Amino acid sequence: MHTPEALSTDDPHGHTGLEFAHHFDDWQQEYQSKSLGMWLFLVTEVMFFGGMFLVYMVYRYQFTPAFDASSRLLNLWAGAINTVVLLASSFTVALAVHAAHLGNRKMLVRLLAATLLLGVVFLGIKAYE
Amino acid sequence: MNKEFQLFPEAASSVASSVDELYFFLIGLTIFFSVLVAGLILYFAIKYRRGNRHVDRLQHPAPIWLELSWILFPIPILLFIFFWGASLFFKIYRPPDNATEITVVAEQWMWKLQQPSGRREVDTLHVPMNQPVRLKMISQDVIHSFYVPAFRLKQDVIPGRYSTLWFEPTKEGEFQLFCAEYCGTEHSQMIGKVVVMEPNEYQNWLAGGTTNEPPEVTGAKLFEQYRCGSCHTLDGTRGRGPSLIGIFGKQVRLNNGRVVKVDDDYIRKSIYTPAAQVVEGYQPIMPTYEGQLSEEAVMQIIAYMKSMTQQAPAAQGEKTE
Amino acid sequence: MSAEDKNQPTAAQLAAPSLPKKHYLNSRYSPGSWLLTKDHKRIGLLYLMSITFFFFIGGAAAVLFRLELMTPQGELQPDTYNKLFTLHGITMVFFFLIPAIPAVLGNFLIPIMIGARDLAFPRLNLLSWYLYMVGGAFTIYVMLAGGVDTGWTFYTPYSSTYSNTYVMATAVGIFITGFSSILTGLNILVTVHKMRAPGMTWFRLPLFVWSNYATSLIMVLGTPVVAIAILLVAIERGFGIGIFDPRLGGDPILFQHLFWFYSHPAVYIMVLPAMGVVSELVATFSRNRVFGYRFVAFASVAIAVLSFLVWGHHMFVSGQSIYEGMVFSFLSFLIAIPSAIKVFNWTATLYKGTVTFDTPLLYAAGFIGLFTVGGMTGLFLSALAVDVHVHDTYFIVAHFHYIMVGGTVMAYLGGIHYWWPKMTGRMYPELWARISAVLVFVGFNLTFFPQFILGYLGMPRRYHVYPDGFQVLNVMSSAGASILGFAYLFPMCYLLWSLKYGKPAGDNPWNAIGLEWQTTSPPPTENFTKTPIVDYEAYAYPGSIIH
Repeated sequence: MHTPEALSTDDPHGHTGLEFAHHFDDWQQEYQSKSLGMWLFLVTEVMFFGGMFLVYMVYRYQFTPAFDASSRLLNLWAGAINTVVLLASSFTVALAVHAAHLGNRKMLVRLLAATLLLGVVFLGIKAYE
Repeated sequence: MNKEFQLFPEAASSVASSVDELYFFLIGLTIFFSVLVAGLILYFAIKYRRGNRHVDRLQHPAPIWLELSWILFPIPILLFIFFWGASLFFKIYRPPDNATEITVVAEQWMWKLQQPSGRREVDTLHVPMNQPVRLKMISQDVIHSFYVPAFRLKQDVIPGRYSTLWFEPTKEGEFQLFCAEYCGTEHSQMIGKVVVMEPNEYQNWLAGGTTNEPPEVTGAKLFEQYRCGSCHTLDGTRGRGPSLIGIFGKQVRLNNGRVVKVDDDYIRKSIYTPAAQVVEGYQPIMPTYEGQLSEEAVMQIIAYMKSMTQQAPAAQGEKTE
Repeated sequence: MSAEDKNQPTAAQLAAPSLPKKHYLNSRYSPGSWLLTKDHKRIGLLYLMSITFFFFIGGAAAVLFRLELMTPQGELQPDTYNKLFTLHGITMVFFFLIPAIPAVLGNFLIPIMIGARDLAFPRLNLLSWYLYMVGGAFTIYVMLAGGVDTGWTFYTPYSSTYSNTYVMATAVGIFITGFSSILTGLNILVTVHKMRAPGMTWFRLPLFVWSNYATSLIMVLGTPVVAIAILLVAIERGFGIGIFDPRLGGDPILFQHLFWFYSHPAVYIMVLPAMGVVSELVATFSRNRVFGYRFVAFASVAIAVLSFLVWGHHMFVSGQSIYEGMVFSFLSFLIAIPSAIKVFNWTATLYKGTVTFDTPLLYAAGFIGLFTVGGMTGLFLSALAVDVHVHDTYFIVAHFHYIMVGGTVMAYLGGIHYWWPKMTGRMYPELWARISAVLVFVGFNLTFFPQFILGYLGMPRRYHVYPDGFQVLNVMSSAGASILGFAYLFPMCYLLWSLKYGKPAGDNPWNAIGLEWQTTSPPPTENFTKTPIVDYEAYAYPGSIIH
């Protein structure tokens, strides 16, 4: 896994170089902890949506014709646009992480704002659907 | 019935004393291990208390067999209990073929039952002693549970699907019936009794009802009343829907390719959600009778379907495969 | 530097222990320094206050319905009774038992026990507490607005269609609190993996840490499933979409599967940390290594894994096939084995130890005895044929209260007493504490033992009126409950008293071995003045042998 070389933080003492939160011993530990934490969080998301998909699969098996028929009621354009919106927001947030690693605060804020905006658009289209 | 203080319920069904035997074995096991553990703790705590100098505290490495012994030693005991419980469970769940069927509809907050002779009861169930009875049950609304402690039996009664409970009473008397699944405000009042009688007294009681129309006769009337015959013939000829003669117990192929057996649940589903399972070769045009036919009415129609199987002459019925 | 040297008290310490000058409690005093703290110790105390609050709410509900149950006909309206037992279940399960040991003692102790300065994600830890409080606020709102009457198990279609009470608000509250649990578990897992001090290998960890680690596995994997289950109930209720109501094409049993898939492992979330506390208490108060350390550690993880495979034993009479029943029955018997391993190992730890009868040990011994009874009655429930009779009766109520109250609550109290000097710097009054422990034990047994008998007699759960023949046992149970309720007030009082008047405890009042005893009482904000280096096994008491 690529370990970024520099991490910029709002350190009041103006230190540069490898900064890390005070409860960690070194930056490696912080980075590894955050990665593990993120993976664990993804596991919880799998369990959460897994439960929902299980319910979906059970009913789809029991009521196949109904599911077929109602899928024709979905709006193709809304789904397609929303997919693009979703992928675009993943892109902007990945770029935001990159900007954070480079210490480019202005870009970071802009990209996060773009991500948020795309999220709102996504929800709006969902509400319409 | 439960008016007096007691410490142990009476045993009034064919399985009750078997359940009690397993129960007593488990009590014995529990007492044994609890006393063992509590005793050892007390013994060690006192013997090795801080003030006691006259005791050898020199420790030696513990042999691994000690640890292994208390891992392996419980396993056969646990397996033994499992097999005992499971085999008794099979007996509890497999009704004998000659069981009389009584239908039960549960609703907030009462039990409605119908005898095969047609006599109906509410919150009370009369049964003959020493003869197996099978209850076919469904709920009108939420989940309930039919529980007779003296029989050591219960079964959840759910909406949307039939559930079965069978028993053979071995003692005369009146036995408490409880609803054992929380179902709302009057859950605690959804109680009643099972009255077990000598077989001839039971026959007399059966004859004494005011409306004694057997369920299959009511079912036939409902069949007429709701004009089922306009699409479903009773002589084997194909109509807008499959012919229903001898249909009960048959295997049918549905339009999605699956082959299913025509049982109670199938017929009920056909009446309430006909579009969910359409026989191959037919159109999904049957209307639903949800809201028009109650669960009891459906059970009566099913009884009628079953009776046709028994009386059916050499009629083929539609070759539904 | 060996373990022995470190743990002999110095002459100065023996003389008159005193509070350190600066520690985590007096470092800053403002409300903001508490409400926006990132210090795991302060967050542990915030949790302590909140769960105590909910414990007494759930307890008050219990007092009310035990009063009602003293007479066969009772005075309360049925709806009120139904709301009371629902409130009791919800507050006790979600707002007390699940967070109590992990979020109070775990938060406070895990970083110290492994030699770290804090948990991996301090801000996430604070967020956990706020999520808990928001969920709790929903529950209080529901309670004041009129209550919810579905039972804590929310069976459908009653909860999704028929109940006329505040189901949605309750569901939202529990959904939010679930995330509090998930984040705490996530925090503990990452902390234990990544933040151990040099030399603190996995097999040198205190068993309290192992237990909380296993618990966190369950919290992280199981809680999302109940979140989705309860979300689907709310969706069905709010939008009329058929998920669990057969009238709309749904399946009520599907809810039971989703619900119990979490709620069975949840009971192990409640008991595993308690077992971790007991390991610590038994070790310290017999000055001996825990017998079979590795077996106890692995047993904790085994319990966590197996706990996900047995949920169907709550559904033997629900309409599932008998083959499903058999599979779940078999697996449920298996899970008895790691629990038994622990009980035997704790008992063996006392052998050739040096035992003192301080309050924490009284609670630990109470746990072991009552957990054994509760666990053995679990065998009754795994046995299919017996469960048919006792399912949904007071036998079940007695079984789970033996484990949750006779087990978890006693271990929790034992842990609070044991680590009270560390958390506050003060000793509690030992005589009062011992009296309380005995009272709790007596009150508990009088309350719940008669319920086993009531259950086999056939008295169903969640009944506010019952046949006359059951009254004697119900009166006994209510009498016990009054003693128990009273007994729980004692620790509240004397622990609060000790904050001002208790004797200063010193770093290691118990002369115990463990990293938490090598820092001051109370500890400084950063836990240690210097990162400890560990070169000895857990519980390395002089004279004890590594097993």
